[in-house]
Amino acid sequence: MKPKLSESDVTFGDLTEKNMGQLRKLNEYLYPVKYQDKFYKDVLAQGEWAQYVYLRDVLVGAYCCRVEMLDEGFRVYILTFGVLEAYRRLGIGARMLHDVLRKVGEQPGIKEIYLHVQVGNDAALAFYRGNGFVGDDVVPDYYKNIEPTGAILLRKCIRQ
Amino acid sequence: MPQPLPPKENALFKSIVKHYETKQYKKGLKAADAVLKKHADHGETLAMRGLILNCVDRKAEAYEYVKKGLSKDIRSHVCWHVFGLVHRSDRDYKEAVKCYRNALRIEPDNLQILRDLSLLQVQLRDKAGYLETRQVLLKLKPALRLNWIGIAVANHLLGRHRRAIDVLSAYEKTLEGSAEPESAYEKSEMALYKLTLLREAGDAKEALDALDKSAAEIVDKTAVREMRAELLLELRQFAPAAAEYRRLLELNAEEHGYYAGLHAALLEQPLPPPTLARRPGGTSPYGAPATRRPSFASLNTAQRSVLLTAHDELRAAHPRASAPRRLPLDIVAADTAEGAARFDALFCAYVLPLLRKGVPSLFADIRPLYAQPAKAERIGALIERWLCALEAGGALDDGAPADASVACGERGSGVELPCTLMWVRFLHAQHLHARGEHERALRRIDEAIAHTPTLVELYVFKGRVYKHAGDLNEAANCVEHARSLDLADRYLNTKATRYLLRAGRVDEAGNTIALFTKDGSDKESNLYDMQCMWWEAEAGEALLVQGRIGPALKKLLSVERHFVDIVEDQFDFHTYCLRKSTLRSYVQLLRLEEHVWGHPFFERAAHGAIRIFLRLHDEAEARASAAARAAETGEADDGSEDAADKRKAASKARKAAARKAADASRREAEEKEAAAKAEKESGVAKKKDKQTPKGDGEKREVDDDPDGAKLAATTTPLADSLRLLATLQLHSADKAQTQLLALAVHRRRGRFLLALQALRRALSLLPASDPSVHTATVELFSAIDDALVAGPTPRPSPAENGSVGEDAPAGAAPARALAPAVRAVLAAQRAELVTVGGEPASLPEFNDDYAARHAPGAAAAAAAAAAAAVALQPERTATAAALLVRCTLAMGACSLADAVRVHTLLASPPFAAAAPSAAADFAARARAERFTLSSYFREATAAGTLPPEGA
Repeated sequence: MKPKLSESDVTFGDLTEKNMGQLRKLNEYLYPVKYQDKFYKDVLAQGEWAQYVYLRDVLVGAYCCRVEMLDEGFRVYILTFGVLEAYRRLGIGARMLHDVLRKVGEQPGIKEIYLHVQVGNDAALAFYRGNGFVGDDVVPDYYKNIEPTGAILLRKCIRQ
Repeated sequence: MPQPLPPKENALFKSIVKHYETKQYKKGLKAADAVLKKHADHGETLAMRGLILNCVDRKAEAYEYVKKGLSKDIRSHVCWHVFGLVHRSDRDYKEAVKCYRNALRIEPDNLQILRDLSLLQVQLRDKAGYLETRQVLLKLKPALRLNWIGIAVANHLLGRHRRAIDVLSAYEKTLEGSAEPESAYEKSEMALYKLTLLREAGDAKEALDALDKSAAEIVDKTAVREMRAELLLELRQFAPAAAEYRRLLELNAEEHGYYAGLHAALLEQPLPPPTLARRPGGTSPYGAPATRRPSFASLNTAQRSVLLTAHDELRAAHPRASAPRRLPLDIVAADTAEGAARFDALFCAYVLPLLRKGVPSLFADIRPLYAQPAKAERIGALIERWLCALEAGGALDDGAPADASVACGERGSGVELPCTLMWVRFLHAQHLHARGEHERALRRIDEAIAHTPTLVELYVFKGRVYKHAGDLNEAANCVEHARSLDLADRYLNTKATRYLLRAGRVDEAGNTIALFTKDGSDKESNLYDMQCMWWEAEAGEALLVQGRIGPALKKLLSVERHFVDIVEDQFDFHTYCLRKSTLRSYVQLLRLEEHVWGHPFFERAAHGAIRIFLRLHDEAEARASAAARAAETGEADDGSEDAADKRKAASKARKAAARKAADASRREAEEKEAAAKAEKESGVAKKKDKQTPKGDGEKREVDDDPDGAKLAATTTPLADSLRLLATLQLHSADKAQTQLLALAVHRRRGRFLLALQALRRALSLLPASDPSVHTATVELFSAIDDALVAGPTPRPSPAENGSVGEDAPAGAAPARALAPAVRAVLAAQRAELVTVGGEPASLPEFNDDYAARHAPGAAAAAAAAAAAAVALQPERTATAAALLVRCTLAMGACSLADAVRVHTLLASPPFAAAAPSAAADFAARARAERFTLSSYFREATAAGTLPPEGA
């Protein structure tokens, strides 16, 4: 039996220059990639598009997105999106994605949202496909220092 | 001679006074100059000019003018008043009082001078004088409310409560039907003040009657209830008292003081005395607001069951309050099977919701329960049960029949959220740490970190474990890591600073604390202005460990200066509180200030500073005796030694002299440099002042000794320590450390009677078996024996409290010839204190006896060995070393600090010569068997040598 989360159990919080150590700590545990200082600088500039997620005031995950300009309108790229191992399969990720999609929905200029998932990460693929993301194109050699190097490009169209 | 001025100048003079009062100093000076142009010898104008100069910080000129003015017109009350004001601004209150009194002799009814005098009197706590002055003021201005209140307060301070009450009542009568209405708040404050007086007078019945009468006009309704409840208890009207406390709990069910009252009422006992809201063990009554805490240690079974039943009801009545669920954990006795079961149920009911909710401070809340071993054991068993259940994927079982209060918003069945497992691991690690199992605690906390690596509390706790296990550097690393996760957290910043200091990383610590000082100003002065005393005390101690004496002394003595400022700060309240009629707080403040020097911060800093002065003295002694030896070998063996040796000795002496001269000139050069720098800075400061003129004309004083070099260069360290010692003896005489330091100082001064007095006081605070007391005893009587051997003097020696021999130039023996009477006293005390089996003994016998009786405790053995080595014959070190080695057998009962002391001694030259491998053996065993994580023993076993001091 899985515990059910109440509405107030999960909260979001801003990234700041001062608490960036927390994101470094999360990424160290969540991803095989080591992110450079530039990543953290860029994320900070994204404002509300990067958020920590807390379960009963314990920091358990974060998402970082980037807003990109198109010829006409914008699109959103998900840089990182993850929850600590021990806190998965509780629906926290769904809440996070819901939060991102809510923001996307509130900005009329945004056409689509997309991301890369490493080949072989079936749990992630299932999660995004289950939430309306589509795509099968493999970008070869997307990753440089980890195996496998290929990534699948997933996208979700928001509005035409 | 009075010096009347012509009308025009007289008007100008009046304008000077006006300008002074309105702080228009430039205009004032101009007007004064105009008067002096024509009447250069006008005393009062000269004095006023001086007073204004004093305000614009031209002190030297100010005194010159004021004194000149006084000499021109010594019969002028203005001149005397001004002289007093200048003294006052320099905080020389005693001189100021003298000046005011002179002024009043000339002009007895001058209100302003009387008021100024009264302020100084209350500041100096000349309570009788204060009352006298206030009485004169009342006679002169009986219509003024403030003057009546002043007399009441003066009587209160003198302990004449009745008189104070009468004065207030008399004043109220004069008010009846008057046009001047009191504000509701003032009326209420006065009523409360009168009630306080009645209570302090000890008349609970009358106080209760008065309370019921004046309750309507008191605006602080809660205070009325609290006072009423306490008075009912005092009058042993237990049922109404209990009812009153229950009503108070309706208002605030978390106030432990109300529970203390309710418990007392239910058990028909008096209210426990207020305890200070401070760490356990701290007892100094320095006047902080008191809180009452329930205490349960002495309850019998029947009483416990009365209280537990009451709490069952209270829990139902206040389902959301934490106190009625927490307090039963203290009340229930867990040493019977039945009691243990009840404790388990209560503990689960209290702790499980908090674990599910995630309360980082949970362990601090339950830590006091560990004072009872039975409860600590129950807690350990429960936590392990929860841990097993959660690791197996199950839920926390509440271990008790469903209790209404358990639900309390948190789910109590089904499955748990993942964070609960992490909190239980955290709690278990804390439990293990409290039981001294550092390594298991570290393993557990690492599991918690692997589960949730983002929680800063876990890293802080990990640092704490390392600290207690003796690896201060790793401890600092852990807390630094926690800080890196949230740079905006002042608590983490402070913690990290503290841990860095403990690890001896002083500069890193300085940079860390600077992150939270005000931007733009230099950090040291900002921390000083903020009176950041924990930092100054802690940094001073860390600097001392590193041997940076000057900066250490500077830091520790700045704590003393803060206390001077704190005492000084009352001044404003003498007028303000009377005017605002906040008399309860005012009297509380006065009492606090009277005890403020007993504050732990001052104690700690003063103890540290005195230790530094002792060290400076000992170093100077050692240098001087080395120089004396060198000089002796240069002179004495003239004919017998060959020329080469003589030349060698002579060149040695020359070199020593040259070094000394170089030292002196370097110091001089440094001082000059510092002075020049200070001048430059003061120029800067002046400029700055012009840009941002402060209203009160206050200016930052330039520190001409920023690194304490001058403080450390003192040639009279013992005399310097006497000031601190005197304050400590007044306010912290009940601390053994104070007495031991007094003993150390007076022994070095050769003031054996004072040293004995300190030893006597220490013995009244600590048992004679205490290692530090024993060491001090041996050291003192060893010095006394030397002095007694020196033989009686033909001439009467100076009195014991004379100033002869104070910090005699280094090298001169501190032991002065002793008067026969003193010798007699010393001999008698020796016969009484240095005994074996009740019979007077020699010091070696005394020491051996002590060692034989206390050998199992490593600390005692270390002290015995230290005393043997330091104070007695060097040939005994072999026996002492054997003794120290024996205490390796008692490693189980030995604290890390004691083990380090033992090892330090074993590795010191005399012991190392007597027992070469003892230190290495001891270190190896200490590391293998007990202090596995300690960096001290890690380094000691790795290098086989002595690690740096303080590691």
